[in-house]
Amino acid sequence: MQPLSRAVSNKVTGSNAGDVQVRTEERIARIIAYVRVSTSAFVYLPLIGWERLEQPVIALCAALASSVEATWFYRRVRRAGTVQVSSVVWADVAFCVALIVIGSRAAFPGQPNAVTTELVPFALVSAACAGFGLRAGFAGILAVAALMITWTVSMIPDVTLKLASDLLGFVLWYVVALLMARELRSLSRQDVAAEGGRWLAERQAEMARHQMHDVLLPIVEQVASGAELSEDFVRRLRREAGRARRLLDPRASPESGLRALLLDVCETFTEHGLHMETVIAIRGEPPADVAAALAAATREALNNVRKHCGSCGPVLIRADGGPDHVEIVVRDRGQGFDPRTVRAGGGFTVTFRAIHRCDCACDVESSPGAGTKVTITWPAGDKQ
Amino acid sequence: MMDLPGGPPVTAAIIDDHPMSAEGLEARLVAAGMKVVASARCVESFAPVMTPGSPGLPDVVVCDLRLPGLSLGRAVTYLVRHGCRVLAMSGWASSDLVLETVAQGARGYLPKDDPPERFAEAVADVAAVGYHVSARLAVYLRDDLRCRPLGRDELGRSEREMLKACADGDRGDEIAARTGMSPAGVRDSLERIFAAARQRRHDPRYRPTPREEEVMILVGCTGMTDRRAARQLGGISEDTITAHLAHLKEKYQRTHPDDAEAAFLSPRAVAGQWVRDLGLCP
Repeated sequence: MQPLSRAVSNKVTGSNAGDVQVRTEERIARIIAYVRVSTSAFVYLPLIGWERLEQPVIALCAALASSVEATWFYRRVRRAGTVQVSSVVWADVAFCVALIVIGSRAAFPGQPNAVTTELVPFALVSAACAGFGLRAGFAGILAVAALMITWTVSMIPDVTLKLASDLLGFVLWYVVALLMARELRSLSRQDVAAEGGRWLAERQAEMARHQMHDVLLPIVEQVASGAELSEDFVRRLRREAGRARRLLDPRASPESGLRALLLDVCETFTEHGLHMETVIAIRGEPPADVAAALAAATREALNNVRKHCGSCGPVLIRADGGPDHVEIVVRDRGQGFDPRTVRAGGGFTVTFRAIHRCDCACDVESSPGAGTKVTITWPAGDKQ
Repeated sequence: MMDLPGGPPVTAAIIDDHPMSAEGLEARLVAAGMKVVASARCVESFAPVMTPGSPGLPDVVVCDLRLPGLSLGRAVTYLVRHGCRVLAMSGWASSDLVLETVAQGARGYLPKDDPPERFAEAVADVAAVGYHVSARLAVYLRDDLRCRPLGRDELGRSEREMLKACADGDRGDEIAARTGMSPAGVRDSLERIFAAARQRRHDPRYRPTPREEEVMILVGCTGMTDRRAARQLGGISEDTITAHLAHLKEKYQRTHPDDAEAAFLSPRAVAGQWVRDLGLCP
């Protein structure tokens, strides 16, 4: 079972969160690409007054170039799925600067408005691109300033109140684009959080129902019936209590790995009547063969406890480590033994071979009356 | 378990809002020859025991961490300020929360699923030497030592060996016999271990600043947006909240190097996780 909080985090920060935010970026990119393409039509309007232009060919070239640039911009932004590609935004700003400078030359001297008025919509979109793509900051301000300075210079000497209106337009389109981008992106983040919250609530409710129906209710009903509790039932209670506690840990309880193997071993011996005290702090996974050997050695150590310890009270299992080292201690308070008097053989001999093959080591400390401590380490000789 | 010198039985008080759990614990302590002088469901109802003129304080107060009213670290702080030796226990608690209660003055920690014998041992230890380091707490303290180093000489070799022995389930008398320490030496070593743990948890490099804690609570516990949190905190800017969250994530990653997945979480998610681990949500 995947830990719930991590599953939610994955849900929120993983593909789902990515989807929502990517889709929002794509929408913003599409909107700005449509506006860029559609405003290129305005650049053709000065051609209607062909004879009123000093250099109509320049106006024609500017119109054709703007169409090419708008097409390039559209394809580039759609392919990237975002307008937050600074090279594209700067290329668009640079093109607009060039368009204003060269396009205004098509008009007779002193009458740049005959052309530039029709360039306004196209140029304003560039300021909006800076707002969406470069966001607030020096780069965005620099881009808008470049557009405004070029515009002002190209209007000289035809300076009227319209110039102020045009310049205000550049600033406002930039600011409005900034605000719109912030709202849309913030909305997508909230959507992700809300979806994660809904998903978490559903999973929690589902898990709670499952636990209540399958585990809690049968136990409570059995206890409430007043019947005498058998030893088996008490063991089951201990096992379920252990499971319930593991559910409380939002980051533990993976389905696989050394921790799961050790929990499985502990659960087995709890069912066999050992009273286990488990402290498992495994952070990251050792190789699978090592994990299997360590779990087998732990199982064998507990098997010996069960065989020889009798009713020796709680047995401590402490497992500590991660991907590069592990130490497992199995400690009982039984009668103990003198290791010198014990002949080699039995299950541990076989297990020893397996753990030596995986570069693990096993150390047994015991003395009569003082219990036994088995320490299993990987790699061998790595004492933490 | 450290042997207690002959004399009056160890007195204990239990603060636990689950009557069944409290009754079970009381029975275990009484069976071990201790005297349970008070049992309360919350810190507030235990307060009269601590008022001047009332019979003396118990040797040890066994306090559940999650309680109605004063709870978690605040409950421990309150009890410690009134002169109690607190042994914390809980059904489940993150290592951060356990170490936070140690920072507030708890003398030991036991999970409720530990074998019944452990509780009597722990109470006797706290009464005799002032501290009890269960295997679990020893593992948490060793991790903390690794993740939040204070300096090269924060704990000596004997203290580190003592922590290792506690993690392996050795009892105080066994540690003393093995290391050749006197009971006073064991007590001094435990004192140093707990003092270092408290210092680590109060070190500004490793813990959220008071302002960061406020941000964590608003964003992590109540789910406020950055903008609302900024407004709530007296008109600081949204960017400041974002900066606090980024800093918190950085601090969390530095103090939780084993949590590899934190790198993939947003700063908001990390703040939420940390604030819950620390038990700071109201």
